[in-house]
Amino acid sequence: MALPEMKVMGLGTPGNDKIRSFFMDDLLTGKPRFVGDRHFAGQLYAVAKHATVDHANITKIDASEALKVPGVVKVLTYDTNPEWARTAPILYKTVPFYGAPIALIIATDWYIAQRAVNLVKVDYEVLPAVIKTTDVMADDEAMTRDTSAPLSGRFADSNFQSSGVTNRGDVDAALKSAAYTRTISDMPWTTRYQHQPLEQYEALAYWSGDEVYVYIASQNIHGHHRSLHNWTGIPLNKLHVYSPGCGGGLGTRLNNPEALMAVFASKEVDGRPVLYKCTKKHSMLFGGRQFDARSVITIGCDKDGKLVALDVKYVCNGYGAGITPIFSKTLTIPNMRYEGTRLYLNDQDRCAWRCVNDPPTGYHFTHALDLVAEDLNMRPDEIRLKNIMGEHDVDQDSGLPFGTKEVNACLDKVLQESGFASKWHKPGTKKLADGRLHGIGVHCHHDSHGRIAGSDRATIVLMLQDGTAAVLDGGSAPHNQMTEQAIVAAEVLGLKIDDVKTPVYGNSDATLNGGMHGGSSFTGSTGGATMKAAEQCRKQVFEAACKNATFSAVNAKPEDLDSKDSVIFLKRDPSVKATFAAICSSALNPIGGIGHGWNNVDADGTGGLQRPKDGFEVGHNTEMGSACADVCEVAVDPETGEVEILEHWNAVGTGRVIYTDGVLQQMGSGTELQVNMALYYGDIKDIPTGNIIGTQYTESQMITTLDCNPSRYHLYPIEGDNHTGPLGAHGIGEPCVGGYCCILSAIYNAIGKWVDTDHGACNPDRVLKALGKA
Amino acid sequence: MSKETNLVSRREFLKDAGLVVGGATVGSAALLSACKNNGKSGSVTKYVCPLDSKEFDSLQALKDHYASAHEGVALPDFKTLNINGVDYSLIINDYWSLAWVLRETLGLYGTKVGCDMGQCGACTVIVDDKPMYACLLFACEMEGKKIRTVEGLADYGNKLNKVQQAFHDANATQCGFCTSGFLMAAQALIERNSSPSEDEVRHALSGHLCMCQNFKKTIEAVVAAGGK
Repeated sequence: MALPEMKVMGLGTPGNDKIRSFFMDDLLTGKPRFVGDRHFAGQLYAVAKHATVDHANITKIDASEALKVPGVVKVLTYDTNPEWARTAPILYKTVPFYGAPIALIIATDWYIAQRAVNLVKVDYEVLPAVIKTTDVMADDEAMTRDTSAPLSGRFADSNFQSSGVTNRGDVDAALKSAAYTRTISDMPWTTRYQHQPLEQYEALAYWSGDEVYVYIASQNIHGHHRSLHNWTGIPLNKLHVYSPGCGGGLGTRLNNPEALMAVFASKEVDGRPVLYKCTKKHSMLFGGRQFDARSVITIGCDKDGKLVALDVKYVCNGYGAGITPIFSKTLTIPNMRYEGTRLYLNDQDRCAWRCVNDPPTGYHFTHALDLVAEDLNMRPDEIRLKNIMGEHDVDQDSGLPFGTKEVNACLDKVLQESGFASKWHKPGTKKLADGRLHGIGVHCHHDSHGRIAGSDRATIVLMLQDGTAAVLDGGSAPHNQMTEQAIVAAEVLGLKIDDVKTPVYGNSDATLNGGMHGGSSFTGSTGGATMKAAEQCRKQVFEAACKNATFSAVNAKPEDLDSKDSVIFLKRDPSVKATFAAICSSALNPIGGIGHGWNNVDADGTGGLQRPKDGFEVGHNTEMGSACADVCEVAVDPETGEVEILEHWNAVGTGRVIYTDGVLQQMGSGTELQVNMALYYGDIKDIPTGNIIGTQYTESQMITTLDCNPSRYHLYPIEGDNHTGPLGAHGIGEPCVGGYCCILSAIYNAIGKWVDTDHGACNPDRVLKALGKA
Repeated sequence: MSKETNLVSRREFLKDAGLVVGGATVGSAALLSACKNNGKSGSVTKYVCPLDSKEFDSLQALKDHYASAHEGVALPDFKTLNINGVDYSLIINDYWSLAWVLRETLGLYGTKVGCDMGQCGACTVIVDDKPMYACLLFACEMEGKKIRTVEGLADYGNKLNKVQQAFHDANATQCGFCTSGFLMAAQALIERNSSPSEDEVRHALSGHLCMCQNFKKTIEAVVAAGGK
């Protein structure tokens, strides 16, 4: 598709690939101050004691020995919680999961606080714990329970978090008349993945009279402002929340209880600044778990592999999303039924992997399609190509158009670049010259990232007298996403990117709500606000220009003007021109705009069309998301079980690219993550309970540069013109999650067996077990 | 409102002023005493108790306070650390890590602490030309060593050095929390091997985690810095 020419944005725009994060040079010289880098006079340090049981009532906490340690100022527990803190997730009386914070030690330095933690004695009345999802699944009553009943929350009697049923067409009839059906019930449990931002969970707070100042690493600064207000009752105008930076968001900085802990601790020491800081061990216990999931899938096809029906029963713990979007927004399936259940366990429920939604469900999708293709004597790419949705198809349930539908183009790209059709072979049938087994796999899906949500989001753009623009929004730091906003402003105003600054960010006092930064919704929603604010500025600048001698001499009107590279010019005669600096320095009135986020937004987060598409008018609600496709080629050593990735092709539907290198970073790092998840990741478990108790990076076997072969990754951003997003853009989120599924599929193609990935990666032991050699 | 004390780099301030500043000025709970700037002793403005942050105008006053308020707790000895070519004479508690002293005492917050247990590499500094995890080093044992931090790679406001520029060109940061550690390891590598291969780079950086998983661009940057 031919995309309109842009001045600053886009893959094809000269110079866009040279744009760097506005944070870059500061980071390279050690200047930025994250939360833990802040230091106030008289500052104290707080460390939490964490529960060492899965489920229990605390009968006694004895802090007397801890209080004797020189430098320990105070020890707080549930019993010292203020009234407002009793319903908030800070210090627990009933332990809901291993690692829950139960006491807080405040001391003059962090080491003293850590030492004192070990001296706090806790007596527990241990309660029965549910750790394994299988324990709940084995309970027939639980699995057949009326799923329409509302749930009252995390600690209600039920282990159900939510559940739902969706139906399309007549699944039973379609399956009955299908030429081919298969039920896949032995799907392995997928990996539970732990992904922690490098910056520890921490927050700093102090009180000044009845005003509170809080520093947190946030992906939603105004959301934190509001939630702290809701929890504590502190008036919004007396609550000042700042996010000076974010050392890895990864979806974990959306609802930080650390801020509440710091506010609480500071209050208890007469308002002195307190830095509450999790140790890495406690950060790992406290959060960062991917959910696990299992599904039973029945597929019906006609004799040519055209899907006619799909029946899915799906269960997961934590925040796992259902499998429906993967199937339903990727493939055309006329009849579909989905029964999904999410469970609460006595386990950490804070998922933190990059893309919490899709790897497990994507794997189920890939596994099922590959098996069906094999039964029908088709290649894996053929069954996908036969059923994949087209660029102009509407959502099969809602009937809404998609802002962009790029999955087809992504699949075409990786199949073509990899030469998949000529390399694929029947599973377990090809050896390389060195004796290793060759495999190749494919995956594609449309996922829920990149949505546009939040009409309440707003951005301020100001023109300064020197002709530069200042973008002020609620983003937390001038990382990639704030840099994107600057690029949008530059595009609309016709400024050089160097003439746009982001001087204020992460500040609840001085910015408007920039919205949530997780899940890429920032790009579209806040990008829309930035675009509108910049449009207002451009209008005012052009009006001011018409009063300037240069343009008044030719009787120019605002509509006669255009701008590029920080110069305003007459469209019909570009030699009549003036710089932004000349116009802004002589303008009589201040020039600025406040842009509001996209309107026509549904409660479920869908956005409205900003331009007509396929007969749908402006304002019509849309389905959003982004797409990916992957092909991976592997070599498997049948003697050692070692897997080597030979080549990996990843294509991502990006909408209009705003920031080229940011997109490539996201794709490259996403691909590496998938390698980590598929081949390396591990966990340390408590054998009796099955609980994951690993608290160190080394135990999780995180990938390093030694495991990474960048020259083997081939990345293809597939630009599309999103009719909902600003200037055709949408967020790309974490669409590279297909890599995990693709690698596992490639291993299957190599050895002819599905490796049991029960809560673990395809490490050599598991591969050998699949080969019957373990 | 509390006064944030380290908005301006303390190193920068110390370098310019040639003075020692204590907790009252910098707000540190640490105890900082006489500083030598390239052999020139500065004067002390404040002494701060590391246990309760109370401030005193003289060392004797601090000692008296220590004796009465923290009976039985010994006042640590003075140690001299050479950081980025500058000698600092400090009183250091024996359990403080080098990372803690760099950050909390000297305000060199470019050295990040990710795991504080020697696994992530974010706190890497160069000690006598070798990259080392500052979270695992006791500061009190660093006398006589030459320590370099990310702040010492290029002067503030001046041109980036070769490794930093290569990181810039390759866009080798994402959230940036691991960047200082990677930079220091890369700098040490380039100093001992001016033109490392990709494989050598991957080995040299393997003690570092990037949870954004931006390894590809980091490796490209270091290879480019060496010109291979």
